[in-house]
Amino acid sequence: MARIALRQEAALALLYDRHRAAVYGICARVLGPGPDAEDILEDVFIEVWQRPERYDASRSAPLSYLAVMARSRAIDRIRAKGRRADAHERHRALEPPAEDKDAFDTAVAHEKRQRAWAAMDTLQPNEREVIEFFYWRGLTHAEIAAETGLPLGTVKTRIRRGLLRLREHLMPTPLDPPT
Amino acid sequence: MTHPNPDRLWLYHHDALEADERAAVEAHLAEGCDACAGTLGRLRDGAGTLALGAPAALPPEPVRARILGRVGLANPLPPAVSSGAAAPRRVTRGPGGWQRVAVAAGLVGIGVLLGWGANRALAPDTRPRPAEASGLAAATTSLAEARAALEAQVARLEAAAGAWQTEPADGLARLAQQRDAALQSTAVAERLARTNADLSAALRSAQDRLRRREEVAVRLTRERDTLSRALTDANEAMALLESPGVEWVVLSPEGASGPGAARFFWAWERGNCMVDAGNLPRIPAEQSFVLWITYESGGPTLVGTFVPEHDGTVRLLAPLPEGEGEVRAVHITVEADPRPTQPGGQTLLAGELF
Repeated sequence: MARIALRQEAALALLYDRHRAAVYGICARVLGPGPDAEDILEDVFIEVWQRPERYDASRSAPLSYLAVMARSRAIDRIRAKGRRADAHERHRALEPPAEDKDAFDTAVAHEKRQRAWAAMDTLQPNEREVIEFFYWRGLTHAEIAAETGLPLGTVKTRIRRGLLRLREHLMPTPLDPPT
Repeated sequence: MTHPNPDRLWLYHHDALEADERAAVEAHLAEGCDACAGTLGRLRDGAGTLALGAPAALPPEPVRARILGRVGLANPLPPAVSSGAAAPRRVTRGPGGWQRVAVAAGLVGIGVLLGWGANRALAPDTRPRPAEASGLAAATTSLAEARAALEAQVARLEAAAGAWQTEPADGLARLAQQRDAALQSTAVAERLARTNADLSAALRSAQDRLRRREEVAVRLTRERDTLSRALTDANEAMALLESPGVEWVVLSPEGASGPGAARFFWAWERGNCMVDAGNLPRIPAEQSFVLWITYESGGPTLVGTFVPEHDGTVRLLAPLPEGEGEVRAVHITVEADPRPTQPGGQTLLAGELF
């Protein structure tokens, strides 16, 4: 990332080659494989090139930075295009992850993916359901309530509880609030 | 200043707060709180891990060319993997994250090396431009060679990781087999030790029994010999007493009230004689009873010495001493000399024939 900040295109090529499968996997998870996911993949790496100062190496690894950006951009895209209707089908098509999908992945991404799956496995089934809608389909609380028929308050509670449980397992080291 | 706690910042990052909560967090961050901004940045790392729960997928090849074309590389570098089917690096899913860490560490090193190589090939003052096609081609060739070498290193690292994964397992299996064999050997040794102790005890018992039996055998042999001699003597005595020419004389105490009584038998045709005595007195150990015979031709002549039984009885068979004429007298004396030639001690019993 430092060499990207020095405007070295080869460094961007290397970053892309190493993480393209993980980042595109996130885009495809939200939007489904295809042009939209490819556009988001392209946008993510172009933004890394154009705004390198946004990355802080002391706070996160490059792959985490790319992953957060990819999901965020993908959610923005799906909301902008109003394509929630068929997101569920894409979700089903991608679950469970096929073993050979990891063939192009890096060891770091694989390690993080194992941790993410382990964290998701700690969720209660009802928590997992709403987290899937919220996190991967980008539905709002009200939309999830409408989709599932659950009271809005129940949806909010399950999302909060599920997200905090995921954080507990993904980041077990305490992050003490500043004094 | 009241800071939102990390949970609230985590929910804020995921847009899971109510509107008023979100507004409060944003207002706090807008105040320029570097600490909370730092916490939020670190939470991004965990959020990235969560996002990576999506399965990896290989994008179409043209995306790479589009990206690199947009950033200035009109002739983009060749991809690290030319196609999805061209021997991709295989990272299988399964337990054992340490292997991933090992490979990741190798890849980080490789990344540094490749970055170094890229920096050398594409240093700022020689950075390729579309107009510098020949320089770009040279740099491309150089990087392609570097990448091939590094891919070979990746393959070696993965092979090493695989070896580290299998070799300890094989070693553990071998150790487990050796442990089982050792345990079995120990059990066998314990059984053998117990058997050895049992056999040793049985052997000692058998040896004790054998020793006792040998002692009994020796005693019985002695008794048998004694009885055999007694039987021989008894047979001799019977033969003597049943002999047609047997003669006898009664031996009486010298004094009217003296102890003991005896009879003396002899047979010329058998050439032997016997004294049968009883109620003989106890005498000192250094003294002995002596039987004498007197013939018509002279005497007395020594027949033999004897020691009575504890009850004072004795039966002595002996050859009849040589002499001429009839037997005239028989005496039993008590002698201090163990081998006397003439009577010298007290006469205890005597019998005379006239």
